[in-house]
Amino acid sequence: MYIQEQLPWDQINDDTLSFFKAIGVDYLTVNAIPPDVRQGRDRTELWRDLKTLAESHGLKLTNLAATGWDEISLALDDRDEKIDAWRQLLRSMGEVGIPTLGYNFKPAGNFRTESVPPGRGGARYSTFDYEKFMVDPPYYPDKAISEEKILENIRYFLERVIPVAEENDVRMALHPDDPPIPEPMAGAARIVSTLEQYHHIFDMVPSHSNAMLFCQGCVAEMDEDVCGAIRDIGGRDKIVYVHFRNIRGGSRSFQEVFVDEGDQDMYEAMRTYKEVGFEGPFMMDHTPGFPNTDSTFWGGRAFVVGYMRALIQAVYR
Amino acid sequence: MTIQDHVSWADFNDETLRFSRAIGADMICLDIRAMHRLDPTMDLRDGRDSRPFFEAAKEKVEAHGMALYSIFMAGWDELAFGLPDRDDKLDAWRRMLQCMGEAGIPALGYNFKPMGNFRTPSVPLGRGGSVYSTFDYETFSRNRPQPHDPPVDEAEIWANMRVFLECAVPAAEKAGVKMALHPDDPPIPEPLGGVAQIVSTLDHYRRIFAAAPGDGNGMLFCQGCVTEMGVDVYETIREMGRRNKIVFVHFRNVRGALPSFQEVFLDEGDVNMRRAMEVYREVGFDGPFMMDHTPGIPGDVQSRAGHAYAVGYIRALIQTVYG
Repeated sequence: MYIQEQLPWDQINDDTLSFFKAIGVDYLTVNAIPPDVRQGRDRTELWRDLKTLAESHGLKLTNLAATGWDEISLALDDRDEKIDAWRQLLRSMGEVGIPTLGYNFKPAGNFRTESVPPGRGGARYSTFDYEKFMVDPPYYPDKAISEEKILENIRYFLERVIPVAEENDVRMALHPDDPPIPEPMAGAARIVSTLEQYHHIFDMVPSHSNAMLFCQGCVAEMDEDVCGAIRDIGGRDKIVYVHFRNIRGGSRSFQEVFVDEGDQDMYEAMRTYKEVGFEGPFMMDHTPGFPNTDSTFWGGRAFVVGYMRALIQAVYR
Repeated sequence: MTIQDHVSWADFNDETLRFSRAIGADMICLDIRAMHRLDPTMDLRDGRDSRPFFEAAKEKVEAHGMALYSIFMAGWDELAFGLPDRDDKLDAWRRMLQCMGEAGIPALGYNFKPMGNFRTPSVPLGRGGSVYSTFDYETFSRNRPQPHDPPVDEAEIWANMRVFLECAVPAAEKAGVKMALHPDDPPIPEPLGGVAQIVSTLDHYRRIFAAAPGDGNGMLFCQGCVTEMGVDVYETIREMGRRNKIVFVHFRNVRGALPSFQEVFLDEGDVNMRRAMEVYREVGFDGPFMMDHTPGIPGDVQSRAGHAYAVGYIRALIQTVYG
């Protein structure tokens, strides 16, 4: 059972990969990828170089992560060019043998409120409180879109890219909105905020390549029973990989806490992944921020990876 | 179930304590072995009233939401070698125990190995180029360190230990402090540096416990050293746990055993750590666990990643075993 960990493309080097290998990471994900991919630049050679570098450290390059581009989600004038660029990305992944692509479809992005109260040891928890958010809600006129339109846009997108993903043996893994609130935020409707919406998206273009990045944190923020959701989505073989994180609270008010201190029983969750036949990988996604930022990079990652490894050994071995 | 993190005197500051708390440590083990070298005015061997010192340290830890559970102190040479001022040092040790007890610090980790630890070069390197603390008897034998002069045989150092235990254990009990004796490392029952090692086998421990019965005479159960002894680790937890001799645990893993071993990451050693944790639970051990050493990860200043990795791993195991 495998653990995946991420780095921006320009921070992947011998030092960071040695660190990953030391703490027992198996797989590498590139997040973010270079911005010029959006302009249609063929990055096959970069993927090949990164793959070779990862392998020289005993790691596998298994994943890229991209933000769904506004031209596509908002159906701007050059949407078709961007869809071509996305297909080019998928082909370059197929060429090099990178099997999964994480992405999202939320033009207005994420929303957070002030990080209060501070967490363990003064750690900064990513926090959302709906009531505070609604005191002065933002509005982004250039991102405004109705639910009907954005649903049409994701259908248009999936119909054109999923066949290319299939041809290239790439699974596209859609990340939930965050916070996953199925109402317009900043003027943009949100269509990846409930499990029902996921089922709708899967049904639009049925394919093994049309699947989910199971962000366990976001699923918990949906007020879903997490293990029930793992059974629902995992039972359909729609989990490409997992963001193994924990929260305290629910949809209207939550904090992203350390993995061991949230509301979710992570051991039970891990057992449920195994029960539905999920074979990984797991990754930590975010860590709370330490007062000393160096500690966030080193300590934050190592803490979660150690925690996940022990649970994996307890459940899968 | 609690986790204790190791903080040495040189790093005993708010930044370190915030970090320990962030990764979920509940308690701190303050290692003052090097304190008198860093600050010659801070030498508890002079028999001073150290209560204000312990109280201040405790307060500092508590301000970060943790408890100061233990102090770690090397057994003093005057005691191990029976030097002329031994009686003064016995008094000072008792005074230290009394002051710890008054300050409300319940455990004292210590050792009784005047020549310290022995290691050989860290080959091969470990995961990601990590440096594993390594011992290989053959390599060691080819290049032994200069031995202590004069040599100290087992009878002599054992006699000194007996004097120490007979004096210190009743004082510990009176003070409400548990003394937790760490094994020799490597635990080889022969004189590695010219001085016999007498805390290297389970029989040694049985003899030590018999010499001064009582809860004040306990073991710092370094699971790594026990593994290095080549004994059945799970059975040893059972024996020491059932006798209520485990004060706290160094929860670490090893590949190999004497005559040759490496201290590896928790998840990749020979011992099934989950099974070990289950045995601690079975014998009613209720903590704390602590990580002890971590392999040296390249670039990991102050071993922050190493601490975090181990504490994360231990926390997950605790949650699966103790609930």
